[in-house]
Amino acid sequence: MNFITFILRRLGLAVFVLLGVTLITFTLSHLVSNNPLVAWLGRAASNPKLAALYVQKYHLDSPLYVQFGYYVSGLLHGDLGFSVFKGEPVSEALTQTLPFTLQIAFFAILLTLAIGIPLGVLSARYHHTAVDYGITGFYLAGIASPYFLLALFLLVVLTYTLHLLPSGGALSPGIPPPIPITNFQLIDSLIEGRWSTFLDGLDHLVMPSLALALGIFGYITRVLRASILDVLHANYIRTARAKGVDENTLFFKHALRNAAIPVVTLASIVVTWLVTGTLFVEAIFAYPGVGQYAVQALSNLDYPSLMAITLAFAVIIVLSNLAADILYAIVDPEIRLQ
Amino acid sequence: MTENVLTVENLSIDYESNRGPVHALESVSIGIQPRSLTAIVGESGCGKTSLGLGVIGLLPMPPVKNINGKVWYKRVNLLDLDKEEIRRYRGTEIAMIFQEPITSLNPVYRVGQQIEEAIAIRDSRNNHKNTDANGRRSEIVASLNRVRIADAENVANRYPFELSGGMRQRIMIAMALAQKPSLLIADEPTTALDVTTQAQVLKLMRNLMNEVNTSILLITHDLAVASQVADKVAVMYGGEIVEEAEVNELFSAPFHPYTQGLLACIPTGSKAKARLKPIQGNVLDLKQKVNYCKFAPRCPHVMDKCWASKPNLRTIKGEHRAACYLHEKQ
Amino acid sequence: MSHNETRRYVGFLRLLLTSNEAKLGLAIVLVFLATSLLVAAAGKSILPYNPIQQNVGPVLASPSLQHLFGTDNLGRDVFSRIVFATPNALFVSVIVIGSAFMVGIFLGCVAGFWSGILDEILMRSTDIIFAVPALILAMSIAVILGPGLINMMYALMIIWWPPYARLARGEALRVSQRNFVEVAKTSGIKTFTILRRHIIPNILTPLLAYATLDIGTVVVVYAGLSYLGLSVQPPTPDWGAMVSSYQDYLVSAPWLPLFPAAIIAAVVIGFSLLGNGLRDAIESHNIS
Repeated sequence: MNFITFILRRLGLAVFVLLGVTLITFTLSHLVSNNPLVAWLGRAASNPKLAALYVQKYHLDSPLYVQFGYYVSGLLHGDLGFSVFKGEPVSEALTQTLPFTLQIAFFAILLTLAIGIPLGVLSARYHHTAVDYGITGFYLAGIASPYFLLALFLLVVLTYTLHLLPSGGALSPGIPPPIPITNFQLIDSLIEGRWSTFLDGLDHLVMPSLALALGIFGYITRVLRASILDVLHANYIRTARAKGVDENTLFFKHALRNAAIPVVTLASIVVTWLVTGTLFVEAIFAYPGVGQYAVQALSNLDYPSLMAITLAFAVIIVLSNLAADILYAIVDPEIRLQ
Repeated sequence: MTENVLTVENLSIDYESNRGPVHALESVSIGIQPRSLTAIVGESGCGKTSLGLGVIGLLPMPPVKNINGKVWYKRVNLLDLDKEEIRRYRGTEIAMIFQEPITSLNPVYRVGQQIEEAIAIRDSRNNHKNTDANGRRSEIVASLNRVRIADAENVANRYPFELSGGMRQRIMIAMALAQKPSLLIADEPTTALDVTTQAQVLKLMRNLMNEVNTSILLITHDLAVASQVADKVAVMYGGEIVEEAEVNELFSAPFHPYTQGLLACIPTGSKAKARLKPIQGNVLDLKQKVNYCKFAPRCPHVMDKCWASKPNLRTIKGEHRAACYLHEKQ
Repeated sequence: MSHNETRRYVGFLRLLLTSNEAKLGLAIVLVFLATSLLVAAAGKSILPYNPIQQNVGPVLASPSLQHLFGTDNLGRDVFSRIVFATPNALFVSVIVIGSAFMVGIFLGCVAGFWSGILDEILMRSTDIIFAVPALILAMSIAVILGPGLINMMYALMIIWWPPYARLARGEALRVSQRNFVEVAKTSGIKTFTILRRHIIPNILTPLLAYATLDIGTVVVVYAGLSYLGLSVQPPTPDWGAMVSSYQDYLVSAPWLPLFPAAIIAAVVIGFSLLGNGLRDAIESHNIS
């Protein structure tokens, strides 16, 4: 089996899984109430115009399995229902909020790697010394802390005590948002050439991303440390030494390259925790992403939004798992060629 | 007399264990002549691997505590060198290959890339900036051809896990020889291979020695292996050399009772009905430093003198030496 | 338990307690368990103050000897509230993990032992559940069931079994392929007996190690859901809910949201350390 077949199989599995998740969200939304309109419209189910429209479009007077079919086709056409408290279709709301969450996710992953990898290397290099124990304590505290703790803690220290960073929002009040071209505020401000807006946006990203990164980096550090210690005892390291390879090349080219492989398998856990964390982090920092949207939908009991967000998160996770599988195959030749 | 490639002088190595120091090597001396294959034979724990690793400074220093003695190579005492200096001797002066080819090659790089790394190290040490891709490529293929690997171009592009054990060991040899060392230390290179492949690899090593002017120090527990390819054999027991001789001499006239015992252990086809004669007694405790012959407890010809003082290596006949008091009987 | 088995377990426990981390973890966990059981048994009477009663002290008082963790915006004693809420986390995690454990072993054994289509079904359905983060899925289910501690527990029980099923399945598969199971099968021993005597004992150990580490995860997820208001409703105290209701006082009275949050982290760290110690002890035990 070669690379292409491998990817196609994974893709097939991904599609199957997503179909399964839509089945779950469909079932859940119909468990909310006997009236199928509620699943699509929430409280707006009583609105006669919308009701008639949805009954017709999604065949809500047909048996359940037919409804499911139309549900899926609706999804594929981008129709995710109507959000009452937002006053707009869910797909619109998602289009507005998703880019913000992706911005946080991007920097969170960057920070996670920037903190997790060096600390993993250090704790392996100085294993069983005070440095190692210190790092272990640090990351354990991070993993164990609920996200709201990290967020609140950072808020107290960096904003209220040291006055280094803003307390929330995507931009400081008084700074007009850039023209939405890509919907990614950071990119848009660069396109417009508004450097100060860009920096302000970054300013507001630091704490949310950091709060997430502090809670996740521990997984990377832990696995990398164990993996490096494992690899350093391998026979091929001894061979490389016998060849006359210097210690630096030995560590980075030979050892680390092999030690990094198990870390890739963490991608799944990392993304899951990342996604979960955005709910709390965005709520606390009032960052207008999907997490905040979800929390608001929750308090408003907006079922269409909640189901759509669940689905959206599933898509993110499935796609990133797929990417991780591909990355794993690239990094480990044995997986690729067997 | 031509100068030795390597001269080991009274080398002693101690390991630290939680029950006290373990004397892995005690005052071992041996010389390796150019263009010769010297085999060091002994059971596990006799110190032969420590000897090999100790020469090029590959002994892991936390468990290893003391290293005394001298190792002369090209008029330099390798034991005097610091970590960076001795690194320069590895590969291009003295190369080493190990027992398990399966795990001895880096699994994430292609075989050709790993050989290329060896060549690059050699070039940089010679201040030879051979950056020509084609040149490197053809040299890699040539090195694989030299170890009789067919379809070398193809093999160079493979990852280690795609190749057989015998192939991997040949590649290890190719990689070592590509650096043009004067001495190749081979630590149990054929133990992990099946018998047929074993014979092939040994024959290959023997032939290559003449082709590329590299001496070989072969470390093995198997006397039969030594008999197939060695010029000179040194038998080790309990961290000491107990007998050394030219190969035919050793096999036709073994002097030390341990060597005799080892030879009696080799199952030969002719004596199909005879029982194997194992050597009596238990494996040594290397934590004790003793003043008597270490083999005394197990020796079938032991005398009082053997318990009184330790026999040194003494000449029996010509280049044949043994550490035994038996010759005084004659 | 026979004499030999007892000795093995004692030796094992001693192994467990050699590392300092495991000792610390055990200490934290014991405090947690003891507090929970005390509160569950004795109720409000052992607390310094009534956790729901308002104005037992000045409003928003900082921590002092009288009020160890201070008082909140309604004058309630924060320490009493935190202690009173302790059994919630224990109750939820024990029941959720217990049910996940049992469901997981059952499904895993079936899939691993009989393989084939049953195995496929298990693997695919766990794939689907894994695609949604636990907290989000539990949230969606909780929305339907309505708020409350028991409902929250049901929601978590529904989604928590997949890792256990997978782990059990993997171990069952591995053990099933070993020779003595083949022998047992061919000699006509009843399937159930094979499962009971051979497969399950081998599965238990890795699953138990995982479960210990998992308790921390349940506590964190539960705290998150409680923060979102899906568990116990006010005025009953619950750690997560306390953090969110006190969040506005972060500047004026930072101890209010931070203490409950830190307690959650402490409990999770305790179980992490204990779980790690357990896992290491199992490995050393297996080696020796």
